[in-house]
Amino acid sequence: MTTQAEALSAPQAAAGSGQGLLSWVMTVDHKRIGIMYLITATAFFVAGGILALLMRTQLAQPNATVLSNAAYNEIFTMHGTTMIFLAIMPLGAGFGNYFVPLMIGARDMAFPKLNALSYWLYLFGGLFLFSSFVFGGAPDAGWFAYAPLTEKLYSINHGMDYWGLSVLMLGTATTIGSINFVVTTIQMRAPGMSFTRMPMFVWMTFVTSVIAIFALPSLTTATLLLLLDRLVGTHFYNVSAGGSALLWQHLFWFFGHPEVYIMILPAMGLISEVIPVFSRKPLFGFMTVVYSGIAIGILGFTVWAHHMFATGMAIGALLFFSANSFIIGVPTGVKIFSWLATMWGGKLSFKTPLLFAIGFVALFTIGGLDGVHMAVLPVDWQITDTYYVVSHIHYVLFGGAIFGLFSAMFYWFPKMSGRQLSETLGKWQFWLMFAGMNLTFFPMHMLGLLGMPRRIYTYADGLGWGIWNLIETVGAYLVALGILFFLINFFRTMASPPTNEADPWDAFTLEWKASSPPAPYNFAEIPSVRSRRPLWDEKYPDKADWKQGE
Amino acid sequence: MTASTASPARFRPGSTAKVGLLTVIASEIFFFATALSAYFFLRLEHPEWSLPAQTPTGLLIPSLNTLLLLASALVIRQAQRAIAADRTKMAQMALGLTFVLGLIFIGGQVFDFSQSGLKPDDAAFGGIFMALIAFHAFHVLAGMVYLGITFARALLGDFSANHHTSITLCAWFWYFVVAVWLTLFGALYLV
Amino acid sequence: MSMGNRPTASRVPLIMRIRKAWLLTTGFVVAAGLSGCAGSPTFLNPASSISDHEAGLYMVIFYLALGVFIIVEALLAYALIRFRKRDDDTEEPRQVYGNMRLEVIWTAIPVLLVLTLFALTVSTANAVAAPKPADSDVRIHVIGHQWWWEFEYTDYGFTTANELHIPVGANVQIDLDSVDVIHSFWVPQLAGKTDAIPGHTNYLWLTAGTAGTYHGQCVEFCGVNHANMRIKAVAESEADFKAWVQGQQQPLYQPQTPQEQAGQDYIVNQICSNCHTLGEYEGKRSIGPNLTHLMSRSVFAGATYDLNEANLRSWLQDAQAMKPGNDMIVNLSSEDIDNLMAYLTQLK
Repeated sequence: MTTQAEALSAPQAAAGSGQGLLSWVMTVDHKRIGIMYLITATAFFVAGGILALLMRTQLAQPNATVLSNAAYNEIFTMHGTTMIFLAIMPLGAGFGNYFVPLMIGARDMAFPKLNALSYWLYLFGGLFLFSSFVFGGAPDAGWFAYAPLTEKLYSINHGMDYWGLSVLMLGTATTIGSINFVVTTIQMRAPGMSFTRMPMFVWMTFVTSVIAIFALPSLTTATLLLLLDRLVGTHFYNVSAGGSALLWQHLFWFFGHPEVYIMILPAMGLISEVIPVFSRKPLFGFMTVVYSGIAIGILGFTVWAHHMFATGMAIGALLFFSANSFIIGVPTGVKIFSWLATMWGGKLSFKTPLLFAIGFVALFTIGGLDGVHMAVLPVDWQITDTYYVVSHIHYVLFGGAIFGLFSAMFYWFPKMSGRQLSETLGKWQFWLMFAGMNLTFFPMHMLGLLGMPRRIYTYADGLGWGIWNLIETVGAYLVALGILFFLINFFRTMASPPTNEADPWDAFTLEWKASSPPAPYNFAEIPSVRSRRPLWDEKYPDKADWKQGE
Repeated sequence: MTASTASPARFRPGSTAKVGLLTVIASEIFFFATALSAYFFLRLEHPEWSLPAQTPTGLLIPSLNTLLLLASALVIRQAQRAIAADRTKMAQMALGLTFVLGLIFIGGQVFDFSQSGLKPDDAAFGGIFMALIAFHAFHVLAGMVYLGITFARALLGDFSANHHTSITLCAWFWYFVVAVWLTLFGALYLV
Repeated sequence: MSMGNRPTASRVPLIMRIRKAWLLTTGFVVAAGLSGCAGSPTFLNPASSISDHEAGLYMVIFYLALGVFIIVEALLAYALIRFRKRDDDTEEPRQVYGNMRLEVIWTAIPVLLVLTLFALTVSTANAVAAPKPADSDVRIHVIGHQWWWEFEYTDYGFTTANELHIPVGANVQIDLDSVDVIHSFWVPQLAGKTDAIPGHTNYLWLTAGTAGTYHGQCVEFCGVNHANMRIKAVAESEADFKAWVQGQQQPLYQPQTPQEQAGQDYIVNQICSNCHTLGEYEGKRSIGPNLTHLMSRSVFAGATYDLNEANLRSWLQDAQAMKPGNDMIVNLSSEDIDNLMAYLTQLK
């Protein structure tokens, strides 16, 4: 019985399970690390949102002077960098840290100390990046930092050095975290939990982590070469000395495209947990959804130059990337249909987690269809680098990833804190965010079609852009109000006494077997499973999945 | 209890660490792959570069270094076989020798480059060439740190036939480092 | 919007959602239609065969996507209404795990759709990115600078800035590159965008079908004044184009008054010459635009300001106030400015 013996003898993190600040600083408990990730990432999300509000305020009218051009450029660069590296990815990592071990019936991650290191590297990297505002100027060349603009000659202050060093730290944190997830998933599943019986969130986190392991190195190479250019005087991206301006773009986007799947797959996994529970049915076509996720992961490495359609590469190469970009739409569409089919014939309970999950499905559809437009090479030549792209990325990242993450936040809040967030405030937040995000980002389609480039701090009057920009700014403030509702909800809920309900949603997976919040050791006895929904099997034995051969 | 449905392989001692190291190596392989791609990309844009690379000593030192690393791989393989047969003294010596060979390799690289006249702020060719060699050297140094620690632990009697995961991991990382060098040697000096 | 838990309340938000989606769609279509009248620089109001192809393809994709959108959102909306859990219902629904046939169908149909889209992509791309026409009638070397566009008419022997002239109906070949960072040349009504990359020449060909003035902008982030690097593209009749070329080919205006002479001297001998060229440009690549026929242009400062005396004088007084962060950092006395204005305003 190696299983039991090994499980019971697993050492517990004695330091880090008590109370007080020091216990949190010293902790290697995946649940505490998960919470630290979530809180830190939410704080960075709010910071990134404030940066966005500043941008939108400047853009509300043509020729506005709310922000100077230099300030605007720092702000849009920091907005993108923050949201991607400091908010969305760590939110996914936070939920992953907390719930992957619980969902697979383990007591912690495979490498608890490395887990803590990931978090502290992330926190330090993020703070280091933001410190650039104070120490001589934030980076201002965009979150994907194209060379040669980022060379010392054209980016004289240290902003890009801060960017490069932070990115290296954050990339390392992500790589370490991904290794941890991969090994944990392979090694520490409960008895009976074959790969085909793993919850979808665990699957998607696993695929995401594999993607990260292969994608982040490209960013490391790109950034190391940039820092060497800037700090040591090499000439990798300096055309006049034998370097290449396009080299950066290839290296960056080889990472950058898989990166967007790193951001979206966990959220897809999250809503794949929520929709079944609130529809009272299992996920429709489980293995098809798994294969779609794997397909997206692999295909994600074959499309990178669709970010480079305007660079003048040979038409044959461009068409190759266009073709792959179309193909990758198929597995994504398959998932949408699976979620629809899960709800179909179910009994939908419109609690806040489900509202956000439905919002994901509705909004990601739009973002995905935008992507299909952009795969069409000749159309992309008109709409790339315009507000059309800004619309697309925000529909998939905000309407998609962020909505998915909020769905998980409302779903798993009771498990993490022993308290349920207010449904009333939650619904207000949802509707404000849904209406606000559509007001903000839908007109951006129009702006792109009407010729407005991205990354401009102002624009001329008389081009027909002003009215849409104004509407978008109103929408942005609505979204901000929604987020404010969330913060109010969070603090009020945490101030209220806990109810400690283990399974408030009548859910299906192992984490709901543990107490709310779970004991430091998660499970007194390592559970064993016979299907994908072990808790459903336990609570509804006559309808158990394993009895249906599932 | 359905322990029988658990995959026994998952719980073999040391298996978690092994899976972990393999994942690290996978990531590092992609790091070198992208760095090498950068090299080939720049090369394609500059058919005028005189290639393959030559330092003033020609291929002599790089070739010697290659043989050195190949030998070190064989030596550390000996360490693995020795400890598996509980021959702790032999294992210790093999680990120590591998470390020394690594040290000589680093020395050879440093010497070769100090003679080459190449500077990082030369044109991009010099830069990418030195960068690749430097990235590899850092990995050799990391391997040597791990080797050093493992050697010390071997001296302290930490390892036995049944318990020597660290030596296995050390060896695997070392094979990776040697394999990367073989690739770099071929790509930079022979092609 | 009531937020309580009353059973009927949840119907209202759903219908509102459907209505909102509908409104957004129709609103967009209307806006797109309106755009042609509004003077927006949009390829949906094309002035060349390239933009026309791209617009046509866009509309096809748009309607296909609209169809998918309507189907998906309608199914979603229907599911939300039809399968809502009634409060008194405690039975679990039938547990359905999947349906292989359905999963195959909803994989196969998207595959067919994307194959169709790819076929359309290939054919339009070939039509639009056609190989160089046998003869280009006009060849222009377009060079991106931080933060202005240079238009060098190499065959005609002159260079100008900010304002591009092409004859209607002629095959125009553009050789595109940059002296510093990556820029991107885009006049939506004439063609799709192409990057201007240092050390690398890109080519684009276009034929303007309609006379007119078209707005364009740099569309690859290139630094602090990326937003202020605009293009005024003028497509004109063959005769007008010839007249314009001849004007550009005129020799440099020589000063006829002492003040004009002082102005020219200042430009040639003082700080201006660090960045600007005057007269024979001889293929020199300068930091700032060539000034020989400055007043023939209707815009300046990266085409962000109308070129008139008042604006030009303000620029000489404080260029940084008009375009913060640009490379013109000078401190001119009011006497110098008067001299300069006297000369510059003659450079037609």
